[in-house]
Amino acid sequence: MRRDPTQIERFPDILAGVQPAEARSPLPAIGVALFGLLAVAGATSREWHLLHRPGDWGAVFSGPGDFAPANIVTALVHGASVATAYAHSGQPYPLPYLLAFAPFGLLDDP
Amino acid sequence: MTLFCLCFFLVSMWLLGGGWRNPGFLPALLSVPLFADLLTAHATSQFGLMGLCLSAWAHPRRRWVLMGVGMAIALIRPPNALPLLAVLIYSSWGEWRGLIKAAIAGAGVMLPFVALAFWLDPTWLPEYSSNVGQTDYAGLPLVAIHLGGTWGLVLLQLTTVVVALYLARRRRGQPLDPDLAAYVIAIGVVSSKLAGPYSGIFALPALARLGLRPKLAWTPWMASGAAWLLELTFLPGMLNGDLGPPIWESVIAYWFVFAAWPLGVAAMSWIDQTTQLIPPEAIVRDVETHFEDRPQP
Repeated sequence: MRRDPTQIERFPDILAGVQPAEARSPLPAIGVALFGLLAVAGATSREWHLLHRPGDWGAVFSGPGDFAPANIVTALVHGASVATAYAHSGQPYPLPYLLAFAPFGLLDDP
Repeated sequence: MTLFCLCFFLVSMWLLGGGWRNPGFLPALLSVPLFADLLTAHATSQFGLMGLCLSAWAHPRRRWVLMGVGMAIALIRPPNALPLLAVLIYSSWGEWRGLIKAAIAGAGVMLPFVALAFWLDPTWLPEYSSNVGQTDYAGLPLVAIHLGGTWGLVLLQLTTVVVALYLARRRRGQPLDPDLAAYVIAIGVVSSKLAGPYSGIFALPALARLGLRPKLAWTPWMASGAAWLLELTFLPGMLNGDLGPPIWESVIAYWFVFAAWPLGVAAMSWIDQTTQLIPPEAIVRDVETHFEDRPQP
């Protein structure tokens, strides 16, 4: 059954219509500023263990990530057993996707 | 990788989060889940979210190929993708040619990698299921595993799918409403394992969409601010030598799903309106009355 394309117009994004851009009231600057302060304070609190170490700010952005783990990439590149690497990785992602992400792993772990 | 993650997120918000000019966009951008995601470079999760948003964006526009490609990408995190997949199939009921087109497009994207995976590791499927069954995570899946093992996880997953279908029950064969889609994606957080607050990114498009409503425009700010307030409570522990936030921090992700619940209710009231065949003019009138008492810009 072919759908009438005009039907899409009969079911618009109702909430986008409720608050069109031109009808939006501007956000109070004080509220946004307070939120910003809270976010900075919360972020500082969360990363305190990294931030309070002088000269180690780079560590804040050094999370392990969840792209293809290094052992799978290494196995792929060096012709070792990908099956063993995958079994030991404990990754909750299907293997085909980890293989698709292997180039990212290569970038991160040359 | 952090930059990649940010780009994926911006695309997701453009597709389903109501755009970058949506008043709810900034609190989503400055939220705990995204902050945690960017710091730990969880690119696969952002990639999965982008796939889900692409699918949800493509469905009402009848871009079947994009819908299939989006879902193929999104299945990198099956627990997050399955509720939306069920709703997409239900919403496309009767349009089998479109669904087949989407399935072929999705298979075209993933089949080479699936073939490569089977060639390199013919037993990857049982290994994947064993990896999923590990309990080094937090949240409801952990409880489900403790209660019923892998079957507990399956039951939890089925529950999220059933809830998603319940919300969409009167939308069979109709274009997918973006609010409903965003909330169904958020529901997927419940069945996915939490390894940090970053899992909450799947609820951010729904949270941002609340900013599109006059009466709820501040809700994303409050929800996001409350999460930061919780992060502040970790400071005393950090000052006493803790090497990071506690493991249960991950459950912040659920807070964002909860905060977006008005979308689930709205989806149902909108469903009721459409099923009662209210003429579009009446809905437009209803929309206009929303602005009668609002100051003109």
